[in-house]
Amino acid sequence: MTKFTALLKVMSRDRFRLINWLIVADIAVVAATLLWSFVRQGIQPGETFGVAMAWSMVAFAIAFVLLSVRIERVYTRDTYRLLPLGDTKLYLTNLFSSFVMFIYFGIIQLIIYLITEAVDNTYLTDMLRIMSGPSYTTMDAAKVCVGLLIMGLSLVILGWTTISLVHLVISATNNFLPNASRRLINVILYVIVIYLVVRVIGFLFYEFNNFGQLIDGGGTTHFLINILGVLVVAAIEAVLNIFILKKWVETTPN
Amino acid sequence: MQFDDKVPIYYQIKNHLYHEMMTGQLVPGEKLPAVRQLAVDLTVNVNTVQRALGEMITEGIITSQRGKGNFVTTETPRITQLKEHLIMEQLERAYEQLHALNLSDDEIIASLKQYIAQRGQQDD
Amino acid sequence: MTNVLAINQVGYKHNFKTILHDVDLTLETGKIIGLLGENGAGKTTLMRLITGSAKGSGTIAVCGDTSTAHHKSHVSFTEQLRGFAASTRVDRVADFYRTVYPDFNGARFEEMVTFLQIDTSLKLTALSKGMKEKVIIALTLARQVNLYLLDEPFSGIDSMSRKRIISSILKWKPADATMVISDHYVSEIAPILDEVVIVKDQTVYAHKESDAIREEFGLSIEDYYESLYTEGGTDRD
Repeated sequence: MTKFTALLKVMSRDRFRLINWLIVADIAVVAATLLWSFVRQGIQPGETFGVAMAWSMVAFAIAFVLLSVRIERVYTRDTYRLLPLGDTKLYLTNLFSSFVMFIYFGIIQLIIYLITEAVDNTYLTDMLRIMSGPSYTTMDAAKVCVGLLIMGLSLVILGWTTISLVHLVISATNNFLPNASRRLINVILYVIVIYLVVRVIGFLFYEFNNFGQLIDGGGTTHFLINILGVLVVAAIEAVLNIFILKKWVETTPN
Repeated sequence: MQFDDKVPIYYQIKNHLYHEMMTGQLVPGEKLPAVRQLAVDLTVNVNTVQRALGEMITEGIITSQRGKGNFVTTETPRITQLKEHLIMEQLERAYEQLHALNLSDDEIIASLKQYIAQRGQQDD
Repeated sequence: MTNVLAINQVGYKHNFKTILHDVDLTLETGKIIGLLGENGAGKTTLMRLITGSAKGSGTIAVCGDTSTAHHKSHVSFTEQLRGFAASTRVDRVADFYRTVYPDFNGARFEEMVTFLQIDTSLKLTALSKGMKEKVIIALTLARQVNLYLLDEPFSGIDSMSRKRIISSILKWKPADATMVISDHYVSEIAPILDEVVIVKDQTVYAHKESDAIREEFGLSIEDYYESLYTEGGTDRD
């Protein structure tokens, strides 16, 4: 049987290279943007951090998508599906590998934030002044950061389990349904996915709107329940995914 | 080695080895290549080589020494016997075919002599 | 354990279309078996059912074990390396195999690389069809398992490469392992086959020893195989 560490190593090798490319590209784009501003009108106060932050959001989205593609590829490729191990181990290792790489990407982004912030901290102080009320302590700020971080990571996992669920259901139905019903199933699934995306976005806006409440400490329990909810849904999807993978998902033929 | 795919392969391997013994490419007491090596050399299956060698061991043409491999027998009478047997086999086949053409024994001898004479001229 | 594979009443449908039905097949250890049939007859599907890459009905036991997760450690299949980026170098692919397959024999792989004249510094995209097939054969045979499944290893390959591949099969197949080679063109591999299995009419139509075909019918494997198609197969057993 293939060991977990061996599998994690081979799965992460590619993803690590991919993420490094993305980091290089991100830094290049940030540098180019700043150079452009410098040439045009000179760099404004707070711009260094602002630019890094803005591009970072785009880079995070790209990292999420790229890692998601890597996850999905594993399920239909003989290269991975023929490995001597159970589907549960394959599924969880696969998810974990992308998750670790996402965290690695996050840490690099954090370092970029710290560097750009050290260069010029106007942006962050301005932002904090706009956001915060009078009753604002360092402890609260730390709590918010940790809370948002955990929420963000939970949503990343939920995102991946949901994408996998849709993909696996489609590839399972592709095997035994005739073409007409397949198209119907695909349409239904897309509707469900769009609905879910809308719901998640709505949920995010709600959380952000209740930011102040969270800082005040009143909404902490509510927030924790939400995180728990996200993780429970992700866990249920993961169980479903493993079941579908084991029972119905075939690889792409030679 | 080229095989006739209509004839069992083990049979052709035996004939191939017989031929090597008759022509002196394999001499009495000589060690045969390992089974797998023979299979690779002849491009045939190991099991088929095994079967051919097995039959030859039963025939007494080859002796198997545990842990050492297979050897051509040193009992030369056996090889002479084999040669006679092979000659008989060929003659039998030719005789039956000619007989089937309604030739008498005398006619067969005559045509064979004539054939050999012609062959001799062609070869000159 | 004398049977490496026991397939019992296996069927497979794709989009409501029957690809295989009522397949029964038992293979003994230590044999080389030709899996013959027209293109699209279901040869690849049969192999994919054995590896668990395709999901059908019925039971398949490899070395007496019916669980698919266990099959995978007993079976080595010529997979087409689709899980790798096209820019991956051959030695990287070998590293992958070495890491994830505990039964991968690195020394054997190196021997085969030398014998088949493979340049492991090449990228997958840079490989010719014949060279890629050689790489796949070397990777597949470097694993030490009970059952090897070679899916059309000679399609579109020049005769020199074909001879090398056949030699390496004879050289490196473990004595107690069974190997199934699928092909739709028989004559090139006929001399190395112990048995032939013919897939026709969505099932295993015939399963015979090759020398028995030659002895009983006085036919070459190819003639026998073709006769099944022209007669419509009256001598089914």
